[in-house]
Amino acid sequence: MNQSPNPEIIPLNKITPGTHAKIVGLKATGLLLQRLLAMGFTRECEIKMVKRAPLGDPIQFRVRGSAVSLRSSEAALVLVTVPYN
Amino acid sequence: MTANMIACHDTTPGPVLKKEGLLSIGLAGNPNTGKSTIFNALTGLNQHTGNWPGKTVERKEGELRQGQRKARVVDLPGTYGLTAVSAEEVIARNFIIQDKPDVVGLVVDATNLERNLYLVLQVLELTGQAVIALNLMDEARRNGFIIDCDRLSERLGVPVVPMAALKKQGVPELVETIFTLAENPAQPAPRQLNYGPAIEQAIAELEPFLQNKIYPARWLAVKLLENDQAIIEDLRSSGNTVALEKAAALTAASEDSYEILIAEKRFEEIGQIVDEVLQRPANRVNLSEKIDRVTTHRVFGLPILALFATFTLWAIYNLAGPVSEFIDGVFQAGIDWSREMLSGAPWWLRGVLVDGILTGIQQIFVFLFAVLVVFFLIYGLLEDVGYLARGAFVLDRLMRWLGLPGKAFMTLFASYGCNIPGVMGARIVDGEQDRIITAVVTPLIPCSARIAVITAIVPIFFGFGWQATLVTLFIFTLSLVAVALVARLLKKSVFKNKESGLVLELPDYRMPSAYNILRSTVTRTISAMKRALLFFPPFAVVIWVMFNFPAGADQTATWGMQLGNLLDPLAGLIGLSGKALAGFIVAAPAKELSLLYLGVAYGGGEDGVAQVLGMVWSPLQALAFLVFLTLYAPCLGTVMALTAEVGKKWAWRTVGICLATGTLMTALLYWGGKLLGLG
Repeated sequence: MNQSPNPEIIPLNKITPGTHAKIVGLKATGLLLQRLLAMGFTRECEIKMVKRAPLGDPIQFRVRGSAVSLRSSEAALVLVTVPYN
Repeated sequence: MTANMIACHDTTPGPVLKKEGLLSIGLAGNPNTGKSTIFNALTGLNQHTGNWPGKTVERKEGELRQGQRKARVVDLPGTYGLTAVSAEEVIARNFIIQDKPDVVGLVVDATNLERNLYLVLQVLELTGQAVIALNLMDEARRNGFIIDCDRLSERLGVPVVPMAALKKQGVPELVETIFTLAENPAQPAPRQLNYGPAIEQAIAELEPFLQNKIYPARWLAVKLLENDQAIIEDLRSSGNTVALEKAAALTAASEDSYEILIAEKRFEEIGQIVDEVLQRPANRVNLSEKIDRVTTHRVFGLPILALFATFTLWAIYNLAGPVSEFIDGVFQAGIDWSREMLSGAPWWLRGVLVDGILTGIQQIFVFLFAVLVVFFLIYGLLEDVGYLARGAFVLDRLMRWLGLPGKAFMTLFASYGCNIPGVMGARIVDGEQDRIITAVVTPLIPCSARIAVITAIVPIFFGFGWQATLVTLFIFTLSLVAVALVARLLKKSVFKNKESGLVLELPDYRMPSAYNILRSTVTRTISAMKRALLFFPPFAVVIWVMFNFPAGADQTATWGMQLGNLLDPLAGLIGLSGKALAGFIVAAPAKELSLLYLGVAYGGGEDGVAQVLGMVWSPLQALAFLVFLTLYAPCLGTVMALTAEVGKKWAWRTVGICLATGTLMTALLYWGGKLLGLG
């Protein structure tokens, strides 16, 4: 298992379907932040990008065992890394 | 580090009023956990629905009986946590803190243990008198999960009852556990979480300033550090600036966000519990994800949704139709019989009672009842299965183009059946502004009553084939355009473009429960019918009076006709006839009245009036009439629902908005049509 020593940090809306990522930061604030936290979007948490909606937005993720969809603009406020496998 | 239990501070506030001898149970849990199923199983038919005082959130309460034991069960709103992101969390936590139920039933989805425990831990911070109803165990087993319930109970400090409520499994055990716990309060201290040295330090510094009679100080401190808006607002209005300033200072001084750290600490604790208690299958086969490959497919997702919507409309016309006719016949027999019985009574009394009130009630049942039932059945089925969330997922982009939040799709869908549940459905939208906008545009969507009028009139002018469908779709499209314009206008002008969010859970698909669906259909139908029946008959009487007075007058000289003639010039401005405009005024309380009115004004009764109109109006006039009908006003029941949902001010503003929109679009349509030589 190779892992780059400084994996690039990218916003969650930029990863591709089927990718597993790890949350490293949350730029969201206020109600949105609370909703994300309650859904399990915390740092160190592993999530999977499942697919985009037919119209391109929102995006479906798998988080802590359940499917949650976020708008692209909301996902952009979640920072992740994509560990090599 | 082992799980810590800090002895909590004594948090008992003063005594709370409770019905003598009646135990009180609160049912909490995430949405989509089968909480309603359990509530229904516990309370059977002994339940009623209302609203939480001063709020627009639904409140269900019922009675649980087991032999001689009785308890009052309150179904708390489904929430993902107790930190305030909407009225729901505040309602749930206030019930636990202030009403002090004897037992809190926590419904947990066994297939989603990790996230469900987020709410559980927070509730357990408030009370130790709790029972975990670990529901959907059959689903969990099917997916390959193995849960050690005893260990879980040990770790949480409360009883855990495995259940599969849809299959009626676990219910008696749950009832027994609840009553046992209620009658023998274990007096365990609420299970506190150790948030780590940094946060515990901050909590300790805040607590002295947060002492009060109702909320536990420690709990308040945590919420304050979590930036809970409701608590902050409470503190502000009660003048507790010291606590607020202290919290602000602590937050500023902290390197990391307390909000995030607190949540992470909870999940860390949850992670430890879950590791001990849950065995996940090696390769999780998720059926829902497979089904979703089709239902939210890039290409097929939208057409499939359109298919469901079309099927619903088809069912409303073709299934509800025959039922309506049958009901019509039954009522007609009753009406004829009444007329017989009253043949000795004065003509005006007979008129008011039979032609006014009885006929009015007949109208409601014929137009509204069957359509509501069919619609609610289909809607209930899609909701129970879990498809509605996919609809919101697929349509979110479109909804935003309409100026509405993603979840509003469910509202719009309901509105095509009846605006009243549509308005009521606005409550699932997050955010006050978005909720108002959604509710306000709802009346612009044609409900089944208007659709019934449209389908009666369109074929007469445009033939029965594909032209009729096209014209009907055109009217529907115009209504959506109106929705988009009004929503966007409201957003820009009044609400200054505050962005709304969409954090939507897509629950696993579940086998629908016929019982649940029938139950919700009955409840919703009765609720909508009640409003209609209450206000409709008086107005039916008004119409009857308008067309039968002055007494003994010729058909053309009644008050109704006079009003029609008076309004001709005004109506002509937007392509309507005076009679039609008078009809609109009269039918504003309930659109079903339109055909009734037209039937009397033009002759032919509501069955034959379409034919009569065919000879008097041009197709363009008919179209203008139908467009105006679709847009111009919320019916009285809808106004009532609006008042309950968004307040009197906005309810009346909606009336004005609809009238303006209807007038404008009808005028544009009519004169545009004339310009193009189509009329």
